[in-house]
Amino acid sequence: MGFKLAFIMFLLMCGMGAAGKMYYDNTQARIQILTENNAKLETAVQTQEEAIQSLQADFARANEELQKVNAEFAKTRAQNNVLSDKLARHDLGVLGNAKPGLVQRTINRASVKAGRCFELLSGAELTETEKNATSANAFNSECPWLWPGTSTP
Amino acid sequence: MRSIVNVLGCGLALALLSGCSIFGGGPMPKQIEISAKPVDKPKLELPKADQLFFKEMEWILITPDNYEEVFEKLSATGRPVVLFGLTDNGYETLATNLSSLRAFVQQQQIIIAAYESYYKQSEQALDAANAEIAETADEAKAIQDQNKEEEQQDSLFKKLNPFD
Repeated sequence: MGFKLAFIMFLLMCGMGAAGKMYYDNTQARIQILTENNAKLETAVQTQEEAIQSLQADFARANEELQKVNAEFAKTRAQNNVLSDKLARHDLGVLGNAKPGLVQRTINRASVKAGRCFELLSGAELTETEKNATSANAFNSECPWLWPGTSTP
Repeated sequence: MRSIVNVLGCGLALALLSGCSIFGGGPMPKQIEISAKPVDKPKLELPKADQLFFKEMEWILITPDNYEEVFEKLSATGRPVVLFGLTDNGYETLATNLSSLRAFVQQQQIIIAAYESYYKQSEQALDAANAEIAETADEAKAIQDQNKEEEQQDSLFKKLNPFD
């Protein structure tokens, strides 16, 4: 009777031991996979955060560029009004009738300068006279804002 | 007989506590794989627009007092005696139209410069972000490798385990 009991107990202990071992191995494998998953998810979260930060910086830069462009546009509109103001100050018809020679020379010079403004905008190299200009008006009175110097027109 | 029942009862209880997991305990979690490889964009290299060269032109003013003189000079050049005229208002309109065109060209240049500046800065920021992401991934991998090594070293149970 005692031997039978001991044998049954031995079998039970072996079974429990094997079951425990299998349980341990299974749990360890799960822990390892979950730990790795956790590390990968942390990396993914960090990547997402960096992407969001990058997007926010892009928005800030876009806003900055927009403000710059608006300011520059306001300048070009003001520059565009310079000629209209100049023409409004003089009656070209009366002047031309009274002094056709003088007005003809004036508008021909102005036309050459206006054409030069387009050339400069297209990337033309500066002439010696333009390089040596000491003021924006001396540079080109039709588009003094294109002067690369430092004084104001 | 009673002791056999006790032993079997204890065994059953232990089997219920620990042994059930060996029959499954749910599917093994899948190992996830994350890939964050940046794709390089080809650079856009465009040629510059053609440079403008304006040809000289001449305005001629004609009044009731000088028209004869002007036409005489014109016929002396051998060119057909004809002039394409504008009134003072027409001239002013032409001049302001050209001024508007110049402002438009300037505005286009401002827009192009803004795009260039924005995309250059964005590219730099993107490169920096990609470098940080790569660094983070490397750190995570290093931690994983370290964990694995520690796990292998620390598994004393495995060394003592007679079933291993």
